[in-house]
Amino acid sequence: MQQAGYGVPAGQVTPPAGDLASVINQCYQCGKCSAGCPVASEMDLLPHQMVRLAVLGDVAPIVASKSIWLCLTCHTCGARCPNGIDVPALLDPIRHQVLKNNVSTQESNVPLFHNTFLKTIRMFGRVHELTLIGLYKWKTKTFFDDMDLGMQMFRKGKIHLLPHRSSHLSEVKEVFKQSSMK
Amino acid sequence: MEYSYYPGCSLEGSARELNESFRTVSKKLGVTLFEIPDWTCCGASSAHMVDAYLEAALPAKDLLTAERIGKDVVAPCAGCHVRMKAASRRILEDADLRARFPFKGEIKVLSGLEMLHGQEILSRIKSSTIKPLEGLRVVPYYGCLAVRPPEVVEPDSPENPMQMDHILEAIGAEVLTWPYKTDCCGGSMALTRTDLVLKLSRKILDMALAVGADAIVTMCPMCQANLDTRQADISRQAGKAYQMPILYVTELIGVALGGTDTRQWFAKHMVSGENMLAGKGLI
Ligand code: SF4
Ligand code: SF4
Repeated sequence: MQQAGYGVPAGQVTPPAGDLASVINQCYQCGKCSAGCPVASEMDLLPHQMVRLAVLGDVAPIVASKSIWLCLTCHTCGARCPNGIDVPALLDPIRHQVLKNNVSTQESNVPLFHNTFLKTIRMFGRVHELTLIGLYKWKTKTFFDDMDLGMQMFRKGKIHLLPHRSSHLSEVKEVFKQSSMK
Repeated sequence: MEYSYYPGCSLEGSARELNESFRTVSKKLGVTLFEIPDWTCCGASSAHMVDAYLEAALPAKDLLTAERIGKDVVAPCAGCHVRMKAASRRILEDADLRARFPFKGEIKVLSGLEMLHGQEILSRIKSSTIKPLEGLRVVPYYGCLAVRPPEVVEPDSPENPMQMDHILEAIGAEVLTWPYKTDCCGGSMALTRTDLVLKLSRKILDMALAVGADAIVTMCPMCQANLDTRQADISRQAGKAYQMPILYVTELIGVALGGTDTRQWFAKHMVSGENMLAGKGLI
């Protein structure tokens, strides 16, 4: 059943439906998810509050929150919830829509990082740390953070100058073409 | 014993010593690993955040290759293991995905700990130990991805896993009880919210110190990199020096089995365990 919903950015982000909706509907607000969440103290909406809002079909506050990007996907909440509700499983489809529709967000460095990460996979078939870190730092203008650490890692042979080029690159690019990152 | 081997990107870069020590001890224990030819990235902690199709499709090619080869595949990186197992479950449940990636689920995806903890291999570890790690006090740190989500990883217990404990006991280390076996170090935000990661990591280091550990032992490249490389920043913030070695369980197995230059692995860490281990006469 489609929830009524209110305040959802029209047509941009839809509340959970199907199996996911029926799972989160079992939430009885015990708060165990929030009690064990490692980043609860930084969140503007706590995990159990996000679940409640989603049950009500009101995803707009989740989209507008910091929490949606602060969630570390550590799955502590899901492992402990007496009703098998995993907060990242609820957030992932919302995050997908936010990114696909270019909805503006808080904590925007987090999605920027993930996007950059996936772009390096699309480029090479594997992660190339130097390209990833370089692109990310370029976009966030944090070029000099961790410079010292980076040099040490390089000296220890942990950062390669040149990327590995996969012979399956065309297959990887094909996979990306079928996704929202085409 | 033979397995297909999926090292993954971390093991080619920041976790080289995990790759080298995993291969070395496997060989010594009579396990032959066949690297999946020209494997590609599993999507790590990013694909599932961005796109549901990418999450399942990025690991799919290598799952299919592994099934063609016909041997169970071992993925030592806890992150790769979760991603491959999650993708295999989704493909088996979703007819559209299966039409594109005809994976039948005839092979299993094993974590590094699962492989090493197998009855036969664990008893070989015990019987081949020539240098028991006497006097070494360690805390086993599983982190998130070795146990969660439990329905994907299928650990022995999501709150109190014991596989690494058993392996460390088998090589003669003293395994300390501590409450942070499966707490999150914040690894997925290492670059984006470093401030948060320093807080979470410091908590874990402090607890290891409080229970009197000589080292934290892990199997997760993200946890290792995070806890190891951030100690300099944490020391600056805290105004006291943190020098806690964060070691891979396979490095310690390497020490116990003897006959390998294990120092080359420890030298790749920011906080090297070399002095501590040498001080105890173990290397
Ligand atoms: S732990 Fe589960 S039931 Fe309790 S508040 Fe959180 S989501 Fe709801
Ligand atoms: S998965 Fe996200 S919401 Fe759940 S406990 Fe971890 S950080 Fe908190």
